[in-house]
Amino acid sequence: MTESLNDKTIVKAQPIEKYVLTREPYYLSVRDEVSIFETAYKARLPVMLKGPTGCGKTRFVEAMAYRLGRPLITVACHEDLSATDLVGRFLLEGEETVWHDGPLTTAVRHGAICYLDEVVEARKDTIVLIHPLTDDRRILPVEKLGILLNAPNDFMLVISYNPGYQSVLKDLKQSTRQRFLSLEFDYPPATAETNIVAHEGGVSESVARDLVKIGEKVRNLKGHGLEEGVSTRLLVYAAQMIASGIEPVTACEIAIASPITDDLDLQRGIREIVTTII
Amino acid sequence: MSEENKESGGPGGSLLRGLAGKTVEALALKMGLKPSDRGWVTLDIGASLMSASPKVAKDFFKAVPEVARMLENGDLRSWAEIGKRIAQQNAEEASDFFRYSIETLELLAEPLRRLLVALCVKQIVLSPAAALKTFRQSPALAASFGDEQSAARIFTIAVEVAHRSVKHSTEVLTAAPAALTALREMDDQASDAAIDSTLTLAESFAQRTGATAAEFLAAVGEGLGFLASPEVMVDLCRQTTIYLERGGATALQFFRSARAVIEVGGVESYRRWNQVTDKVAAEGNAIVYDFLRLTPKVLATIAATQRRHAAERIGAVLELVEELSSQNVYVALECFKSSPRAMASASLEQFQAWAREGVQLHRGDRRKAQAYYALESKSSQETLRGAHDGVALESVSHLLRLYVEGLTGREMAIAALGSIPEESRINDGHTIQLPSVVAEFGSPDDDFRLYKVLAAHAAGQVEFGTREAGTGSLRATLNEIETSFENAERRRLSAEMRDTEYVQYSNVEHLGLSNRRPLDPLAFETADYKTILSRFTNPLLATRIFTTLENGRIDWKLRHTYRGIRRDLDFVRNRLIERRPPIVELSVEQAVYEMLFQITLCGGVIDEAARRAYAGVILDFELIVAEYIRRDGATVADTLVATHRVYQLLDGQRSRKESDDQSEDDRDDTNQEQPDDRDGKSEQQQTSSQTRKRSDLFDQWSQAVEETTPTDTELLNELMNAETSEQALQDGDEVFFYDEWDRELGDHRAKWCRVIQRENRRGARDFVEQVRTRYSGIISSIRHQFQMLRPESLRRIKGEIDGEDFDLQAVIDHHVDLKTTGRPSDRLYIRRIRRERDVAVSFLLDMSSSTARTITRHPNQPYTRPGQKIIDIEKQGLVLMSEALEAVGDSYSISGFSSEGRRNVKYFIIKRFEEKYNQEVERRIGGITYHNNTRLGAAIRHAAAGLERQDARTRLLIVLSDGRPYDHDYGDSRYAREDTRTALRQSRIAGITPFCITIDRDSESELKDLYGEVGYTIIDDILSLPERLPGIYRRLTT
Ligand SMILES: Nc1ncnc2c1ncn2[C@@H]1O[C@H](COP(=O)(O)OP(=O)(O)O)[C@@H](O)[C@H]1O
Ligand SMILES: [Mg+2]
Repeated sequence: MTESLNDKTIVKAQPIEKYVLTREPYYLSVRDEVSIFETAYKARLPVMLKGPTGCGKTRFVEAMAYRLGRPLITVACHEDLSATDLVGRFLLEGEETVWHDGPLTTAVRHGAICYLDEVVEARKDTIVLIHPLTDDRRILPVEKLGILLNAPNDFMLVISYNPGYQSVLKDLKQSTRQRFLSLEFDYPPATAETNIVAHEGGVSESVARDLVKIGEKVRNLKGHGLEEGVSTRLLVYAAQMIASGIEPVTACEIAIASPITDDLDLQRGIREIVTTII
Repeated sequence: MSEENKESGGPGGSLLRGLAGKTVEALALKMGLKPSDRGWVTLDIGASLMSASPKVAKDFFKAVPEVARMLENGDLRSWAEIGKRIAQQNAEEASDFFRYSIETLELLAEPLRRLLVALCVKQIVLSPAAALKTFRQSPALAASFGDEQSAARIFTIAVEVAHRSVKHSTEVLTAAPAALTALREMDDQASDAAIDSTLTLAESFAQRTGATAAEFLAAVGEGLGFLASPEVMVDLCRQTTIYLERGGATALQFFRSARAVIEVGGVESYRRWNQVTDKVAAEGNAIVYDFLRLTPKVLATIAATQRRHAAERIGAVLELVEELSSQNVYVALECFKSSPRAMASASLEQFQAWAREGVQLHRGDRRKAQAYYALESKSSQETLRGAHDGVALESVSHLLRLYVEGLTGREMAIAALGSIPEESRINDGHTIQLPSVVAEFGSPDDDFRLYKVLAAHAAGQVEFGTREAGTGSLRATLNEIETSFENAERRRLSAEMRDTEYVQYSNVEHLGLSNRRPLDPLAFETADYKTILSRFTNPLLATRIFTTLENGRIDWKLRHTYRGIRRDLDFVRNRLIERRPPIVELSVEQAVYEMLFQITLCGGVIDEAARRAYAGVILDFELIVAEYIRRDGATVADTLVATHRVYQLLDGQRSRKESDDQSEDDRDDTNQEQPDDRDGKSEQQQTSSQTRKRSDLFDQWSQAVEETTPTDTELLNELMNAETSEQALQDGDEVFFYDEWDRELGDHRAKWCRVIQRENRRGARDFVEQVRTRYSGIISSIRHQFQMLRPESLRRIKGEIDGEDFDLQAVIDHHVDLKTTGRPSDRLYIRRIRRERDVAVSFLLDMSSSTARTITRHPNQPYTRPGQKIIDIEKQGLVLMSEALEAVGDSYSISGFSSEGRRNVKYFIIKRFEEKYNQEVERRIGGITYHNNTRLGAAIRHAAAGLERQDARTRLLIVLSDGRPYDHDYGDSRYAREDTRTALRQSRIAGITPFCITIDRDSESELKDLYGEVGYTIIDDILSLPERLPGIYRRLTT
């Protein structure tokens, strides 16, 4: 789709098709998060997903996008992510300067769900950019083009945020956080997590149960040198290793003990827990 | 009394007073004594008796004719003498004596009469009471001795002993019956020979020392059931006789020890031991006596720790000691002494290899051998266990803490058993107590597994709710148990009351309840296992049962919740099974507990024989365990119900037994000697009950949770006569262990010193303030000097490839080179880089008592111009030094040390690296004072360990000492010096620069020896130390 704003500028919007989910993602609902999210969507309110890494936030958004029939545009935020990266920029193409929509603009134009993952990682001036989209104006100013885009009703902004870092530098400002509804995520309860691990990792339920038990015990060590407990994602990895024939203790070593800490004592402690359980 | 009789002058008295010999003669005649009778000889005694009490005299004269028929002349006189002596004390008793004499003597066989009189005459000199008692009891005693001949011999022995000790002569008589019974019980046929040997030996004892004869007989009387045959006793007596040459005490000890050897190790072991003893004896009396005394202790310890393999291992030890003794007796002895400890942590083969290696290495040097066998040297430990000396709790406590915190999700502390005060020894759900060292399996991995299992169990108690309180099921259980005990009480009382007369006046109901203190409703609401156990009539018994069952529940839960831990639980259980005492050796009561333990924790009763013997009880227990303990969802309340069931079972058995026995009191005295106890079993029971009291690593699972248990190590330490006791720790103390260098050994003594790290006590802050005021001028100049050292300046480095400026000289050179060689250098620049000062320093202050010495410049004016204590001067130095360090910004720590023996090296923290120099630190400086000794090596090792953790480029250790290291068990001065030197050298290898500042001018050569390898300085004028200290430091660091 190419259109001309004025004579000189060529604007290139991104195709949306690739953001449409074609298969239903596997997501196991843990509480009432699905209905809450739907309500927020209907009320056109932005949502913040709070929780440790690897506990299912991304998967949840994917599942919701599919459920709501909207395309999903995910942006993994990082320190160098600038406003331009989100909104769009001019590029020289031969003689012409061509405007390329950024992911946020694309989402606004198409009424997609835009998911800004780990939003605190982005620079402060980038974060400010989303403010007008998150109040009742629901607009996105595209300064370079000198236009204001009105977000259609089916556009939704979702951000994720991990409060576990506890660093002054990585705290979300009040001015930002008070614009979002907040859904608290945590590692799924044992039975749910067992199902997830069994399904995603392709292992038997009993293996999955052991892994979840290990997860539970290792999470007890948070605060004893462990910044964060072991994620569901890592448990799934461990399960996948086991499913493909790696010896279970070794699988836990490489998927659990070693990824989460460099402290040798902690690793050994985790290993003892692992051998207690399997 | 006799005095009184004379004065009071009763009718007889006044009548007889002043009677002439003639009248006595007349009286005697009148009483039917013919002059031809030998009785005349007694007339003078009669006369003297008359003057004391006519009644006594009358009884005397009455008895004389009969007695005279039974006793020879001389004995008759002695007999009369005895009566006379008694009369001097008590007329009444003398009368009795004369009156009973006839029948007493008549009951005795002819030869015994003589002996009895001879004995009593000896005894009377010291104790009329003893003599009288002997006399009275003699017929009964003689009867109990059995045959006349033995009786005669025993009386003869008693007479012999009485020459030296009346007390022991009585004891001979009282000990003899049991001894004879024991001998006769061995074997009807051959026991005569044994009796003969025993009595012959007792006679020899009596002739030599007297007292020991009685003790010997008493020892025999303790039972001989363990002797295979009377021949062994004959042999034992013969051997003992040989040792009599060396004195009664030695021989007696020989007999006792030999007895112990046979008892625990059998006859074969005894023969071995005998060989060793002979070899030891050749070295002298003192050493053989030591060896003899040591023997039972050593064997008992081996028996206690080896349990199932006791006899076999004792045999092996003795075999080995015999082998070694042919090479060097002293060395063999050291090996013997250490054998229990070595055996406790090594296999038999390892032990044998270790023992042989020791004699090989140290044949000629007893001290080295001693250290080797005492497992004090590292090489010895390595030889014993193949480079593995067990796993110390310290090395794994952090890991274990993570482990249990992971498992339970709770904050947990790991503490060494015994390192915290008694009252908190319970596993309270916050603190897990574990043995301080595990050296059980010979490999670090396996030893760690034991720690892991113990920790998992403790975590299991938390996870599976041992301490849960006030749950519905707990309250229901409490109700059930409460009702059951109330009913039982009521039944008991009403049964009692039925045959009591006053029952009609009492309120049975009321009485029935009064014995149980009512349960407080609040306690009911919050009931936990302790509340419920306290409601049992015998809470101790209940606690014991509960502890075993609850651990069984936890064990089962662990197995079922965690698949992986089963491997470790099984591994440890196998060792546990090996260590259980054989049930047949236990008393019935102990056997019952043991079976319960084995059923709950060992997977069943181990002994085949016991399984058959106790089939009924075992079935009962197994049902209870299956019903309440080993099932899903069992809680602590179920354990309590099970406890109640077992309790009732045991209680039922007990009361049945009591009613069978018709025993008059309701105490349970299984250990009481039973008259029908033929085979010395009661003795065995006692020893095994002592054995059971010694805890081993696993007893945590069977002993009451709160019971305080002495550990094996205590016993072993006692055995090794460990010289220093460990002082109790205070709150917040941290403990570290360090090796120590033994110069004679040429090796380190492993984990020899215990360093207790403690925050120094806080004193007045004024001290620092005063020093600051006093030295204010000096301080400001010090500050200035040290600020100059700050890394504010930039350093210019020439000849760089790149930089801020051209290096003019280099540019010129470049130009020249270009023209001449054509190969110019391109290092043309100057660069400025930050100069880094990266220093961490530890000040280690000698706080021993020698620093209490006062130093003065004016010795003649002690009052007007008093000197200062060295310690105070050192303190001032620290204040100035701190100012300097603050100015330069180096990272520093200050600590002091003193010691009281190797197990109590105190390390006082004054300032940690990470601490700011604040008021708290100032107060700790103010609180520095002197204590005890100077174990310098250990303190240096600890300080160095702290410094090693600092990641500064320069790490300095500054030792401030007043002179020589000394501690009471720190060897001679050379030992201490060499240890210190080794410690310093090691710290240097670890990348630390040690430096010693000392004020002892007197012994410069020693100081050179001590500190020569590292830097040191001697301060002549100690009073100048404060001012000089910062200067020394500055020199060191620039
Ligand atoms: N509720 C859930 N249903 C299904 N899968 C889940 C769920 N929670 C976590 N997972 C699994 O965990 C993995 C990581 O989750 P993800 O959503 O990427 O974590 P996050 O975005 O919170 O970091 C997913 O790939 C998925 O396999
Ligand atoms: Mg994610």
